[in-house]
Parts: sequence; C-alpha cells; structure tokens
Amino acid sequence: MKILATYNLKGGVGKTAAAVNLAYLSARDGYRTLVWDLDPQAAATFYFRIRPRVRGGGRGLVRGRQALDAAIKGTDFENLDLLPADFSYRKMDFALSHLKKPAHTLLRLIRPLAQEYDFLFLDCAPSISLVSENVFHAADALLVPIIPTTLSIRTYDQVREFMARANLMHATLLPFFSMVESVNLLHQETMEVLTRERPGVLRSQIPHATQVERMGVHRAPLGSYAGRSRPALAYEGLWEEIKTRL
Amino acid sequence: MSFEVPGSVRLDVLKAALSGDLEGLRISEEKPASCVRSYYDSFDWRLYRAGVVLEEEICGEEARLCWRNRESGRLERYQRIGTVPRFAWDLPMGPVRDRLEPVLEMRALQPLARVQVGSTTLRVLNSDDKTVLRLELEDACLLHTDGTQGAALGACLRVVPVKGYDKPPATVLGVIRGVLGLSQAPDGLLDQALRAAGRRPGDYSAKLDIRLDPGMPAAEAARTILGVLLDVVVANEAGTRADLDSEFLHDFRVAVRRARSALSQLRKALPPSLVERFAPELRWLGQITGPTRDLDVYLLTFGDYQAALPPGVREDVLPLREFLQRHQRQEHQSLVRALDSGRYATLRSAWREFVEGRAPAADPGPHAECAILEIASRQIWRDYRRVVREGSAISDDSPATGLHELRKSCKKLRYALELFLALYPPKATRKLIKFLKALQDNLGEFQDLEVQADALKRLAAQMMREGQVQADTLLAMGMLVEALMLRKQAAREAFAGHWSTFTGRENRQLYKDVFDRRGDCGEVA
Repeated sequence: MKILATYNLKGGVGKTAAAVNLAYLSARDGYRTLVWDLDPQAAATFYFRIRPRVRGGGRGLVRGRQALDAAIKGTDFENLDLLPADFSYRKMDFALSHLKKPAHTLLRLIRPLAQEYDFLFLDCAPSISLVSENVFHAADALLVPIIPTTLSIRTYDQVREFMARANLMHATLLPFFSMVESVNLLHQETMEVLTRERPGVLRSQIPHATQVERMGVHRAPLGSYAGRSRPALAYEGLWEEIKTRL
Repeated sequence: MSFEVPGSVRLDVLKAALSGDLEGLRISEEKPASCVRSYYDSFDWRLYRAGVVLEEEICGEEARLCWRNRESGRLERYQRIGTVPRFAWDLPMGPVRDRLEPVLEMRALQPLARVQVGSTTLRVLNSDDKTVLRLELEDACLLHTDGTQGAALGACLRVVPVKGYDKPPATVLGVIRGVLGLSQAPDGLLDQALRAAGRRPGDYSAKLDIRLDPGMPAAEAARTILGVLLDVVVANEAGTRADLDSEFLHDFRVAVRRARSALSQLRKALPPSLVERFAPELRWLGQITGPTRDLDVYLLTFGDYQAALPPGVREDVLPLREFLQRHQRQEHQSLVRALDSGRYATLRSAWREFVEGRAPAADPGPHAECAILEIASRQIWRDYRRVVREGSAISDDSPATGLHELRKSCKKLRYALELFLALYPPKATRKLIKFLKALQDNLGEFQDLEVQADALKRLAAQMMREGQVQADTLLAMGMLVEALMLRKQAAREAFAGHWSTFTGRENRQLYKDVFDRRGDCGEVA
C-alpha cells in the first residue's frame, strides 16, 4: 500500500480537491483506494455525501479502542472508500500526546489496512502539529498544492525547513501548482521562478476553475460529472505524473 | 449475494416491490448498460481453482480486465487494458497483474466463454442521496465465436452492499425474499456460461487421479494407470504442438515418464511382449521432447539469471535470451515433426488399444492376477530401501555422481508413491510425499544448478561458433556460471540436513508400517 498525503500549512489551496479527485482516479485505475479525511472541517467527507462521524471519535481511533476498518464507509464509486472526519479530530493532537511514540501512532494504526488497499490518501488539516508530524512519518509521498503567489511559496519553504529540521525527509515531496490562473501574470512569473529555483515541482498544473468549486454542489469528484473538463484532465495528468514518481 | 430471477419478475416489478416502506430510503435507477464479457483461465483452471473469475469486460469503448471473487461475484480488482495478453507478464503493471502473476505463473490465458450482458443498476439512496446499497439486475446470453447470440443464461439480481452501511441490505433483502419470493442463485454467470458452452470446470489437472482398488488384479490396475496417463498425453498434445505455453509439453513429458515408470514397476503384471514393445517407444518420446523442454526451462529461469547479475550488466545477457528463443523455435519445430510422424501415431493407437482391451491377445505376465496392493507395496518398499542404501553411502566429500544416482532413485520412489496413491491412507501418503519432496527439492536444486552451469558454458561455445557474440555477453554469462556454482555449493552443504530429516524416526516407521509386507505375489526375483 502506498500512502499519499495532501498537505500544506496554508489553507484553501486545493488540498481536499486534490485528495478527492486523485483518489477517484486511482480507484478508476482499479486500485483499491481509501481516503482518510483527517481535517475536522470534513470537506472530503462532505464531497462523498458521508456523515462526518466516527464512533468513539478521534480519541477512540488513536487509542486503538475502535479499529480503523470498522469506521470505513464505501463511497458511491467502485473501489473507493472513505474513513470519515469527525469534529473531535480537532483534539487529536491532545489524544496523541498521551501515547508512547506519539509521532508514529498513525502509521501503526494504518498498517493493518495494507492488505485491503493499494493507495491511501491522507487529507490533512492546514497546520504543523503532532497530527501532521504523524502524517510525515506515515506518508510515502507528500503532495503539496501551491498557489503561485509569494505567500504560498513562503509557506512551502517553511514546510521544507520544518521537515528537514525534524529529520522527516524520507517521504518524497511532490509539490504542484494549484488554482492557477492562466491570465494572471504574477502566477506565471512565480511559477517560472519556482520551477527554476526549486527542482522537483511537478509539471502538471491544476487550473482555477468553477467546475472544481462545483464539487460542493454535486458532492462528488470532478471526474464523475465533468470528466472531460479542463480541470478534470489536469487531475488526470497529475495522477499519471505522480504514479511515475512513486 | 445473487438471486435467480424468473421471467415474470421484470425491472418494473422489482421497482414496484421496492417502492414500499424502505425506512427513509429511496431508489434511483441508472441508465441500462450493455457489455460483452469474455472469461479466461489457464488450461489447468488455476484461476477457477483459486476461486477467481477473470473476465475481459467491454462496455462501449472501454475494455477492462476484471478480477472477481467467484463465490460472492464481488469485483475485487480491475485494470483498463488494450487486449487480453497471453501471459500475466505481458500485462502492464497494475492491480490485476499484481494478483494474476503469482496464480497464473507461466501458464497462458485461454478464452473459456463469451457472454453478452444487459444490466440495470438500482441504487438505494439515503436522505443525503448517498448510495447505501446497489442492486444489479443482469440478463445474459452466451455468444458464439462468430458473435451470434446463443443460449439465454437467465437473469440474476446481484445485491452489492456498500461498506459501512449494514442496515439497508437487511431491509431490501427482506423485500427480495419475502415480497418477490426470489431464492439465492446456486452459481455465478461463469458457471452458467461454461455449462451452456459444454465445458466442465477443472476437467484437467496436472495432479494424477488414478482410482485403484486394493484387491484389483495387477494387470487390470496397470491398464487403468496407463489409461489415465494416455489421457494426460492426449490432453496436452494440441497445446504442445501449438506451443501455447511451456507447461503443455512439461505435463506431456511427465505423463510419458510416469508411463515408463509404471511399465517398469508393473512389468511382471503385463504381457512381456507389450513391455518389450512399449518401453523403447516411450523412451523415444522422452528423447524427442527433451531438447525443447531444456530450452523452455532456460527461458523460464532467464528472469532469475538476470536478477542474479549486478544491475549494470543485466542488459548484456539479453543476446542469450534471443539465442535461446531462436533455438527453442527450431527444436519445437522438430518436435512437431516427430509428433506428426507415423511412429507416434502408431504408438498412440497401440497404447489406446491396450487400455481399452482391444490389443491382440498375448501371454499374461506372471503376476497378472496378483492383487495390486501387494505388488505396489513390495515395489515401493524396494524403491525405498534403495534410496536409504544409496543415501547412507553419501558423506560430505562424496562425489556428485552419488547424489545424482540418489536423485534418480528418489524420483522412482516418488512416481511409485503417486501412481499407487489410491491404495493407501491419504494421511500417511501426504506425509511420506512431504518428506520425500523436501529431499528431492534439495537434490534437484543441486543437479539443476550443475546442469545449468554446464549448459551456459556449452551455450557460450555454441554462440561463439554461430558468430556475432559480444565479449560483454560472454563475460556476463561467466558471472552467471559463477553465481550458479556458489548456489550449487550451498545446496550440497544443505544435503546432510535434508537427509537426516528423511531418515528420521517418523518417516522410517511410516514406510515400515505401510509398505513392509510379505506376500506370495510380490516376491520378485
């Protein structure tokens, strides 16, 4: 099982959209796919029309009282399941901090699922916390959506520094440009600079598009209602590129 | 879970029945879909036996290879494909290939049956419009090879639960069973299609199934055994000729070797003229099939060869594979010519005449009327004693020839155990074969590695004679020989351990209890 996490310290950059749409494509490829919505905002859970509730809450999960598998829900799509968010996840740091080896707890909980799934997508809340540290330990690759603005690049650098300092660089860092406006000159310039100065940025870019925003109306992955749209094709390109980098 | 659907229950009947009280759930109907499913398996039904259904499903322009659980019908994996490959290793990397490769190994996929399926999916939705259960109503008919429609296979209703939603299935199943009165389908679409196409699942297995009765006269038992072996030879003939995969020839050869072994072990029970006639012909069959099999084995182990080399030189050895492939094709052509010969046709028909009791009358063998149990037990006991004698004479510094002789004797013993399996308690024979197999694996590895190393040296010389071989290729082959010799040394060192297990108390006692018996008939001079 490969574990991919969509992560950024900054919010509203397209993390959840990426997790949901990439997971949809992974399942469509035939891979048994699971999304764990770790964000108490529960956006990924909402997109799949699933109720954001886990029996025993985040504390029950991390303490091992409730098996992860029992909390999993099937989505409307073949091969695609979701471990829902729960409002109690906001206190997950606190629950984790009381355990032995708190930064490795998530990985330990996830391990039994390795036989059930080929890909696990972790959709993380925008923060640097004990939960995100757990995610860094567990993930094979970190997918970092970046809006091409100065501020976004600053936060991306902060993440890289944090990971280097905390000795967490075993996961492949896969940054990609998200919510790109083709007519925005600043976006174009920023992308050019970043691509030149920080190698490893993926070639695929996700455009800023209303079809993506409409995921909230359809409550479904983009590919299921606008499969031939520009952003849907962009996610397909991104998914193909990610697979070659794993 | 699948239900049989009688003709009277159509989609509207189903919908009407489900429109009643569903406790806040509602039904949504998807557009009807039509697709063609082609089922595949290996000649020896590896997938069927593993509880798997492998199907190519073409819906519109999209083709995908689906891996289903045969019992539940659940789609476990799928992978989009262009065409169905012959071998698992020809499939692009993906979820189906991951599962398929270890089950199918070196066997080719062969089409079993093709069906046209019309389906309608009903989704059971909760108040969030979330699907909590899927109902798939399928109507299928067999497709002939020319694409025309054949027998109707009946309709079926599949209930596909959604993980984490346990309540809706109970409610809906209540309606299906109670209101509609449907009962569970006894088997899936594959089984129905196979029945309609006149195929019997598992009709071939490389495992012997010889039914013998302990009191059976030895001559009759010999005829039964040779009959089963002839069936195996015939079953594998077409696949061997067409070279569909390496295992047709392998099974063909094993059956021939077993027949030779049966002929020798039961020679006193058979007419002497018959033994005299068949023995050289079976030996000939072994000889004409040998060279192709040797090359097949080198090609099958080529991947391991490559993996044994450092990454930088793995490409260098590719010309060897081309060389092996070219020679395999040539040898296979000679093999086909031999199978087309009058000599083979005569052998086959004489063999058939014998097993069907139509052979010209001949003097029976001296033990023809003895009970097979006695003959077999005496024979196995003698074979076992020979193995013990030869093995005990081997010390850490004995030459390789002793081990090779022991390997041959073990093989004889194994054949005897397998041919006469039906005569003994299964629990005992399972154990005996397990002990023997462990020893044989060690001896086989030792011998194979030596043969392979010698073959590589010979092939290198042959490649040089045939011209155009790069020094890099020869150097890589030299490294391979070295790696094989190291492994051979390790196998030699492991022999003592295997031998002491084989001669352990439990195994010795088993042989004594099961086979050491005295009788009038088994006393062979």
